Amino acid sequence: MKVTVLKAIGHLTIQDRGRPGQRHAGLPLGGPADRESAILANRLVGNPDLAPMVELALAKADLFFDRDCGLAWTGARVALSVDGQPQGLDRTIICPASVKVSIEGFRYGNYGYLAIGGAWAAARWRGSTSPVLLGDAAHPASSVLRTGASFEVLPSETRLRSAPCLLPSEAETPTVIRISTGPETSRFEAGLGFRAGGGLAGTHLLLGLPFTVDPASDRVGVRLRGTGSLALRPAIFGPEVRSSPTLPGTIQVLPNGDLIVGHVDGPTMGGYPRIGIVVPEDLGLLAQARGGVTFVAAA
Amino acid sequence: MGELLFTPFGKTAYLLQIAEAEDSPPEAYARRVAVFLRMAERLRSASSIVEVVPAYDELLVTWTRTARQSLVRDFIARAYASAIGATPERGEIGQHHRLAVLYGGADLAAVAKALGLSAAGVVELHTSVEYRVQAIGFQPGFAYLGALPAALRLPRKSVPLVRVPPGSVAIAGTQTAVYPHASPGGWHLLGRTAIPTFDAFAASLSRLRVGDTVKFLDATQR
Repeated sequence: MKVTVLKAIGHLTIQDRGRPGQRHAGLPLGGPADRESAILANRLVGNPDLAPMVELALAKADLFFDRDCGLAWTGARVALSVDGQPQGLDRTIICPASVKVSIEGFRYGNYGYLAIGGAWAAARWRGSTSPVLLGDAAHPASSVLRTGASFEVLPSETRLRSAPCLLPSEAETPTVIRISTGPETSRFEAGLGFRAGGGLAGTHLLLGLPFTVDPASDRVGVRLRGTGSLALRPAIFGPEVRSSPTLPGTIQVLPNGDLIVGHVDGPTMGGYPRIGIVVPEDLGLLAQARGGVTFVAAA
Repeated sequence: MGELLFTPFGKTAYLLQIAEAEDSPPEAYARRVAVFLRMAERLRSASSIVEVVPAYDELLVTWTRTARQSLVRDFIARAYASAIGATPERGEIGQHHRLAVLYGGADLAAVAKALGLSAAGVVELHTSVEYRVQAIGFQPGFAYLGALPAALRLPRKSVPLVRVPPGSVAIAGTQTAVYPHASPGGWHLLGRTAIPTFDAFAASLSRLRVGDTVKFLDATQR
């Protein structure tokens, strides 16, 4: 079956499990920005959890399938239609051949997932379909979907399933994110700089404080604006900034008290103190947030 | 060798360091790196270990969510003990690279002025020492090299350049580096090397690996 992208506005990519185990070469994990939602989409069409799927980041798209197939959409709340008919989200849709599937109007959430039931013939680079930008070129280039692009899927039998939405409702704000300690946590103890000891004290400085998601956030990093009331601006930034390894979810404190949370495509090294780390299960939730965010200590 | 220190980094990672006396000699630093590089090979063979990232004289290790932390910790401790035994007291760790550079980069004149040197003086200092690859990251294959001679140390630029050309040789703080790809960057550009340090289809990606040594050569036509 040929899948054709009739129209793509914004960032559409083919994601899969990404590239675990390659950070020593400077390669980020990649994979879906909201892993839990992406897995759900694949389960709804009977695919393996992290088989390839299409990720849309605040994007619009029209797709055309030349055979019958099973589809499912999860993650961001959007208007999804098949041949002009509105469709439910978080459920299997049997899509007839040769009709247009349209996705638009991201109401809330920033990332959505379109799973297509079957085996994909998508190009891989170093074990994954997830595109990595090296200079001016993405690897693999065919995983960045633009208007006119196409790819092949061998459709499989699909049985109808449905699931509850994994995103909290729009009314639930702030988004509550669980965090644990990072290597420089103790430096922030009591907001006084390089004091010994620490344990959870440093990350506790973040707990309960209000942050707001900066709209410039993306798959590289989620930037969180503080209120300026933070006691996080002591002279902990030494004269010689030395970059150190980071992981997806690493929370770095910028000199102005804002935070940058490294995401799936983020650099593998960072130059700011690592005050803590978002638990992996909550990273997708953070990526989907648009308004307020607050932190609690992970159990 | 000193005691192995485990600093938790979330629930499924440790940052490992080796406790040393403050006044330990430079050779001790090189040996800590050598021990961690040997350990890294062994740790990567375990299915429950995911990432093993050497940087400076530290090692970042992550494991799968389903692995038991106490068993991972025991495994790391055993790998450390055996790496100490297998690492010679002295000796080279890594390969040596010589990179020809066409000096005359966009920031060479400004760097010279800021440091109170001539452009030729900056080049002479930059090519005068052998650098060690301290870490790989920021972008795939970007190698952090140190230590830069003290007379060349400047803070990063306050406004990063939107597009640094690939192959740019740059300095910032105590480090120097080659940009393998075109990218934004906040380091001071001294020149460019025509020798590719990155191959997207080679198994190792980067020619430069942590522990390798690098010497820059002045290839500028005069």
